[in-house]
Amino acid sequence: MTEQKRYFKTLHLCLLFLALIPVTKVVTLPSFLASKAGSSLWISGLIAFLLDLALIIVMAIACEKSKGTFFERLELTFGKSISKIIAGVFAIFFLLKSLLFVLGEKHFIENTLYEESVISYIFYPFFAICLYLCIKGLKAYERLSFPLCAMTIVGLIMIFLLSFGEAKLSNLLPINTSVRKIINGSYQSLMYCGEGLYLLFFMGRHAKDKKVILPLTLSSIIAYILVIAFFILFYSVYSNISVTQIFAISQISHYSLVIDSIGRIDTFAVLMIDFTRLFALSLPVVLSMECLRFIFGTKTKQTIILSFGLTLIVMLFVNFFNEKTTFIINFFNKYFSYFFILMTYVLPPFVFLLKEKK
Amino acid sequence: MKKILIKILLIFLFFSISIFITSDVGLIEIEKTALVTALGIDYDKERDMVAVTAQIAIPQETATSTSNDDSVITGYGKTIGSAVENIALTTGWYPKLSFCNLVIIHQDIVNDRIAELINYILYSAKIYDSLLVSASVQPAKDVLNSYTPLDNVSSFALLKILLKNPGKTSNVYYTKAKDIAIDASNQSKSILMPLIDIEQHGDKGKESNDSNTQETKQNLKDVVLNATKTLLIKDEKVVGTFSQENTLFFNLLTKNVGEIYYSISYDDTKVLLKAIDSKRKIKITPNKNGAKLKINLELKSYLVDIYKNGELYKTQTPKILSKEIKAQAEKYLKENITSLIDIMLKSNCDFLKVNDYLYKFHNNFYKNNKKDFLQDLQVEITTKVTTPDKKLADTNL
Repeated sequence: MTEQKRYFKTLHLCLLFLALIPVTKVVTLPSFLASKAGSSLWISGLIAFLLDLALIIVMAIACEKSKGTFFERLELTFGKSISKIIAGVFAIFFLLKSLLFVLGEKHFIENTLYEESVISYIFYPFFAICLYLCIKGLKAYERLSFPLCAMTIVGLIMIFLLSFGEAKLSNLLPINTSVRKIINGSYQSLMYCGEGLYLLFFMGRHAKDKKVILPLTLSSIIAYILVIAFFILFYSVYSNISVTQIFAISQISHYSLVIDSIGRIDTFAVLMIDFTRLFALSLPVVLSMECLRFIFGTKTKQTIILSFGLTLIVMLFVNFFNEKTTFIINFFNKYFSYFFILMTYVLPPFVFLLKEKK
Repeated sequence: MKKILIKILLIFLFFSISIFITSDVGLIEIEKTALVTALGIDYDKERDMVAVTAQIAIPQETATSTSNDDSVITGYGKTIGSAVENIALTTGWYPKLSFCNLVIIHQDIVNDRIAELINYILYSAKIYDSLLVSASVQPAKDVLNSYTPLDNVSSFALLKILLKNPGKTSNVYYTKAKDIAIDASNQSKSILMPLIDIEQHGDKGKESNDSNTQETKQNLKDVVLNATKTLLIKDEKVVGTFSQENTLFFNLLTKNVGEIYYSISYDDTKVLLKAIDSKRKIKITPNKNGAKLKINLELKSYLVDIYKNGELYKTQTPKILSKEIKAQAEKYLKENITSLIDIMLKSNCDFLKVNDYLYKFHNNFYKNNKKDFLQDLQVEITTKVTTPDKKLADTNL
């Protein structure tokens, strides 16, 4: 890859991770974790995030040292055929991940943004955005990194400020949840984590302007601190009824006295978070497309056809399983959790063994 | 050409996002909708069913009407959920509950239905758990049908009464559905909710159990909704009631003071005081016999006026407190807090959350001595009344 194609700067990566990490973890994960670990949900989250952070650091090191892209190194090591098979497996993995996320997002949008029962087509613009991003590729995220980061931070700060008055930190006591439940919570939440894996696909596209490891680690730490703080806030507000609050972020600031006085300003914060989520949840589809681009070539016509096909699969899946979200989540948790963990946490560190481009 | 294509795509992207996040295509003109502002839960003996009454505000165009028109619709069912569904069946219109800010449950069915009501609110996607919950002495339907000088729509009037001083001490207690659900499921299992009573205003308005007759509708005109009493619930059963003073003192112990008035009387003197600030501390400590509850309340108060022998006594400004008034006020505070504790011990309603506190902060002690700690509770109450200007405080009357 030529230097001109190295379009990602360290700042872009840091902003992107700061934007994407929190928004994928503050909607359904808090109540899910509360159902597994009770008041110790933040400990479960912390353990999972430490694992995530370790993955990010490892992948950041690989990113900084690597001269070629992941696919270039894969091809150098295994040859064309096997590297295309590996890319295919990653494409399937990202597609599965996106199916789970997008299905949940549809329910979130329909339940929180609409007072009326909505008709399905209202969610279709998401697929238009998804299609556009698939065609444009990862470069679109570089351009979006700053506005997305600003939206996430402003949205979360608004939510924190509006909800803080309702929080009772004593609700987190006593800390006596069994270790088994805490670990189970951490394990189950891994399906929602693993942003470090994305760095594998930013490898070789990253401009060699500055060191990436420290800034990326710091921005990720800030992002995880925000998520843990949100978990603590969530349980402090809802205590033992946390399990019933499925879409945490849209509910938590309802109780503010400010809202009683001046109206539902919390909706702005939810919209900001939701705007970033559109791009965060499209990313697995875009990465799946990146894998397909490697397998089938980068010609414009092929890219458009493949992007359209990929988006269509996600759209049909979401439409078909619209009423079976809980079943799908349980199904994925039961049958795909090992596959997800293998692809997210076990395989990526092996990138160091791949041959380096001269 | 490429730049134009990019611009077209960007416009399309912006348009898509706009449709996606604004619900613009899903909007309905305000005149074409109807909003449920409050729900009333009663029990219909004749039908042997739960009766859910929805108060509906129908927004009118400003040009055609100058005030809100309101109406009530009642649905019946074996459960609260089915009664709400029944409203849809009888009217052909499904009630939109997302604007519902108040649920009133008739006192007589609190024992049987409070758990069901909490579950309905928690698990229903279209009703927010930030709504206020209260009980009523008269049937909830009567409360919703009543007219008060405060507002034509009774639920709006009630919201004004309940939230007149949000977050600060007042003589009215209010609670949200979410807090009720939390309190019902913690170790104390005690719930408090305001008890609404329809009171006569002048010679008009009186309570009635039959809300269907024309006479009753007349009786419910220009009434006063009194919400100063509070219902005490333990383990989903009603165990007692707070009087107006009890409610005020419970609020004093649990909320900050913004501005609150209280009066004391001794011998032939009656004094009205204004509290502007408070320092409060409730400490629960475990000991060999069980637990010890230490309550400390300090009120910073001004003198408003004094009546001696039925005549207004002239005082100079600033209206600081004399030693005698301070002593009497401290005694008055202590008596009322003692009365509050007596109610807690007699009713076994753990509204100061003694058991929950011990569970959270002294978990090992709680587990080792698992019992109701209210039974052997030792209580220590300290009250203090301060006046803003200490130098002038010793002035005698």
